[in-house]
Amino acid sequence: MFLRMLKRSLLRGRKRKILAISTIFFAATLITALMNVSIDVGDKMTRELKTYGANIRVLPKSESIPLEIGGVDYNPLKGQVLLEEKDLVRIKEIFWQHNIVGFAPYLKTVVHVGGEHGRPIQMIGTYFSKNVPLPDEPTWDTGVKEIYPYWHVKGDWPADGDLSSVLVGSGLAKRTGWKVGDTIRIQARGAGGKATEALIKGVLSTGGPEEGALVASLALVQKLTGLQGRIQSASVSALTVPEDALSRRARRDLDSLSSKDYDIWYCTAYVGAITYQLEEELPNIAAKPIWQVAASEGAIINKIQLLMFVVTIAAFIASGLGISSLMSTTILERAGEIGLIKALGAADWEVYLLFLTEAALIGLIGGLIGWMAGAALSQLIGYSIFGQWISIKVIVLPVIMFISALIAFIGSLVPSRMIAKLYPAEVLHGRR
Amino acid sequence: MAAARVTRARMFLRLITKALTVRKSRVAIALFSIMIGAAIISALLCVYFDISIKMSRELRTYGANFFVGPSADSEERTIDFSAFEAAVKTVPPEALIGASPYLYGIVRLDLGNAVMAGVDFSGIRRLSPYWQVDGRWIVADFDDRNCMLGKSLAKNMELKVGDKINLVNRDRNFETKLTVKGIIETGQAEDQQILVNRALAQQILGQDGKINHAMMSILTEGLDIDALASSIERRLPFIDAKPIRKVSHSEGKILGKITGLMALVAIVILSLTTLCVMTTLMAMIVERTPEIGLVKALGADNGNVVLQFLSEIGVITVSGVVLGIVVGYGLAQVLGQAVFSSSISFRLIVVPMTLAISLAAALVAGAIPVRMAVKINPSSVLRGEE
Amino acid sequence: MNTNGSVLRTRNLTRRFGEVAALENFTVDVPRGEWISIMGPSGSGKTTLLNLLACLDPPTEGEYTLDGVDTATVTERERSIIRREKIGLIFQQFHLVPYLTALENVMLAQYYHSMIDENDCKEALERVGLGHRLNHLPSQLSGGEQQRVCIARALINEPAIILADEPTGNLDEENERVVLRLFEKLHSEGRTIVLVTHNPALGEAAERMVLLQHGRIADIVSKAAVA
Repeated sequence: MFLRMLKRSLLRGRKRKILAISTIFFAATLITALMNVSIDVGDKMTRELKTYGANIRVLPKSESIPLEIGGVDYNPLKGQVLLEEKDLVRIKEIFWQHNIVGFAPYLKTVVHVGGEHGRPIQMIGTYFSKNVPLPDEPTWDTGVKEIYPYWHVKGDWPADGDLSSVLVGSGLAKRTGWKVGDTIRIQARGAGGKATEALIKGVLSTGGPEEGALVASLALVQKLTGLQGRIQSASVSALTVPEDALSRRARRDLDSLSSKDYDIWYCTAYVGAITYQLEEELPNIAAKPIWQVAASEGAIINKIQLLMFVVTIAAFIASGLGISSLMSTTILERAGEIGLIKALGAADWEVYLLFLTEAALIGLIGGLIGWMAGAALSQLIGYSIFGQWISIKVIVLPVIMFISALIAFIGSLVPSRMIAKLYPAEVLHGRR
Repeated sequence: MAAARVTRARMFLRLITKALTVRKSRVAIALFSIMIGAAIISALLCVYFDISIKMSRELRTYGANFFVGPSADSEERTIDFSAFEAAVKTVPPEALIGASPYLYGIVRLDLGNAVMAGVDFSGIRRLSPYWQVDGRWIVADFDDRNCMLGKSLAKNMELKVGDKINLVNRDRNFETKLTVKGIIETGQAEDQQILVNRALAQQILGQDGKINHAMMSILTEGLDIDALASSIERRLPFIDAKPIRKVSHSEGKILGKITGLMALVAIVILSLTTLCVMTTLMAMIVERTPEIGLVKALGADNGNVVLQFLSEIGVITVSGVVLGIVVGYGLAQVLGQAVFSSSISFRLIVVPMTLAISLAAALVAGAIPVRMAVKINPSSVLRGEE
Repeated sequence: MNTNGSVLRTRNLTRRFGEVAALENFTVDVPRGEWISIMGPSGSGKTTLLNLLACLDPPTEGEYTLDGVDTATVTERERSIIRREKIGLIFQQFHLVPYLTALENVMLAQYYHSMIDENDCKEALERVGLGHRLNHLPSQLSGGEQQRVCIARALINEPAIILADEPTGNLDEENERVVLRLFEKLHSEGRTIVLVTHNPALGEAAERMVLLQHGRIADIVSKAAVA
């Protein structure tokens, strides 16, 4: 009989019920979109913040202290410990391989241009966008173009492996008057240094010390220095999570972590955990976080996540209040009917049960449709801002359905109580 | 008898006043929901208008975004310290987060050579908030007994916080003893350097009044940084002033994303709030459908009914919005403190915008059910059916 | 029959809801000052007729002239003008605006009609014996008192006819007598009254009774004829 009453009651006043369901539907839609976006915003913004460049540097472990000022190293290249170029691919083989956005190796030397007695100029060899085949992704490209999106070339980028063209830093170009299309003669410094002719393919602006240097493919610098297959260092761009108490403790003293904490730390994409794994994977290297990028990233992501979180809460409150007041008006309207039910002998709890079940049902239906529409809306937001899809979190569905039902439920609770308390006589005689 | 005459306008006012004051609980619900709605709308607008400046300040954690050094045309490797000071003065004080000069030289420590950098510690601390420091920062700018070491250098030289080191410049036969006050980790060149105060570095290197270059951290929001650079270069001809592309370029991009995100989120929440205010009002009017039927039976025409109900809604909305803006300002402050640890400035434009949005929503919400109610036949209302 | 003296005149008035005819071929003339009652069992078309007579609902067919105005062809707006100019309505459920006092409820009718005169409204309420209840809200009044406010409201604009729908349906016997006496007083003052009821005590007080059955006139009984 209860079910029958519930069915009748749901079908009664269909217009009003459609209003309630559609309000909950819209609210659930918007909240779902907000929740999806705020859950995913950290991930998306981390990617955006990759425009700040690499956040990890890989160096040989026992490198002597370089005497480098303004990009010019006052130590000779000879005698330095170097890394093997072929080991680099192992950077993409660590536990957090999917978080590695890209890397670029470096080999730096000092060259003379236009004869032995020209001014010493630094020359940097690196990958521009070199194909590094991975077992599961044979077309993977990496290099400075991937990890430093803000590098800007007027002219063309040389190809990786091109042994006869270079980029000239914008500062150097200004000083020397070299233009795109000029050919220069490069003489490596010191004994065993070779010479070559090279075409200037482009002028490079980076805002960093590279602007005062020649930048060429790694192969060219290896050939000039006679250091085939060797590199000095590498920059790695990795997606990381913001620093917290655990990662700070791990940084101070890794041994102090309990084995459970250690596991959590190891399996979280902290920049410290990633450098640790890099050091495990590649022997004889030291991987260091570039804190300018790593720390700032964390700070910014935290802010944005917090902002989204607070704003989502505001949305919850707004919709909660709206739906509650709607539900209460819907119920207060039915005072007469309730007076009748009570006059027929219904107990207070039966009145509650009818209304609250009805409210919960309305909430669930609205929440379910709202979740579907909200998922679509969040895709729209994600695509228009970040240019990529927002991942749909299934966890949002039960949360939304629960919350919709809860809001409708709470909104009905107060008016149900008011009505359940009424004396049937008062209601039936129209004196409310 | 003339005194008993009541003008139509006064009767109209009386009707509205009564409708609002006698039905206290219903009006309170509507007022409250409009107030909350307006509060959320105005707080969100406040935050939205402030987000650029706030995030731009947050993005300054990325460190220096402006470089001042010797002109690329000259062979000089140093500039005058006074030129740096003049350049700093060019920057509007409220936009300057931090600035520090740098003077480099090679010195001999106990266990080998190292690059020494002379800096202003108070400036560099604001310039590079991302430095991970073990030990303490050097506070005083005239401190010539302490130094800070890069992490790699400290490791190679086997030095810890609190150790004492001898610093020698052989070329000038200069020697001094310094205490390691802090060890820094940045992942960049500073890891291999020893940092001392600029004045001390000038003394050690014999470069009085000279620096190699300087870095500044400047709030770029609402400031043309390229114009600033060229105005510095015009004023100080031997100086090269330029934004650091890596940082300033990224900053613009990120700020664009964040404001875009915030704008969309604001639209979503705005529509959500508007929707909820609308349904509340709609339900309220729908409830009064019988009353509309009655006054129509008494001879009111549709215009009378629409005018009366919309005026009621107008009064509720305007008072709700006034309260809401006050609450919303408070809400914005709470939000600002929670997220940015700073207050959010209140813009006057928020008041008319909130009022316009709420009023439009409320009138639309009212007009739909009132129109529906006046269209239906009064007889069906009076018979107690719906 | 003297059609010129009729305040209310209908010819073949018909109202259909879909296929169902709630009222068919209702023809009657009510001279000025007559008290006519319309009686019949539930579902006989009483309320439908009242709605047509009150200009709340347009007829499907037929003619209806009220105080010399043909109402069958007017627009919705003109119909609302006829309602406030010519008709005073008294309802079974009283239908007072809940947030207005007794006095204000009467003033409301004046407000939609023309000028508002508070003293007129007070007098109207005093005439129905509510001079001491002017500033009470409907919820503070008894059923009988509410009905008297409703009657005062119906009279305030000096309407051509008073239409009452089961005015004692929600009242006890004592209040019923009070209302009946009020109607007798109105009749003696020369007002035209159309009373719809199934209460014989009230219906038989009228000069003429129209008996409705299944939407048609079954019989017209004239008191004078009986006497």
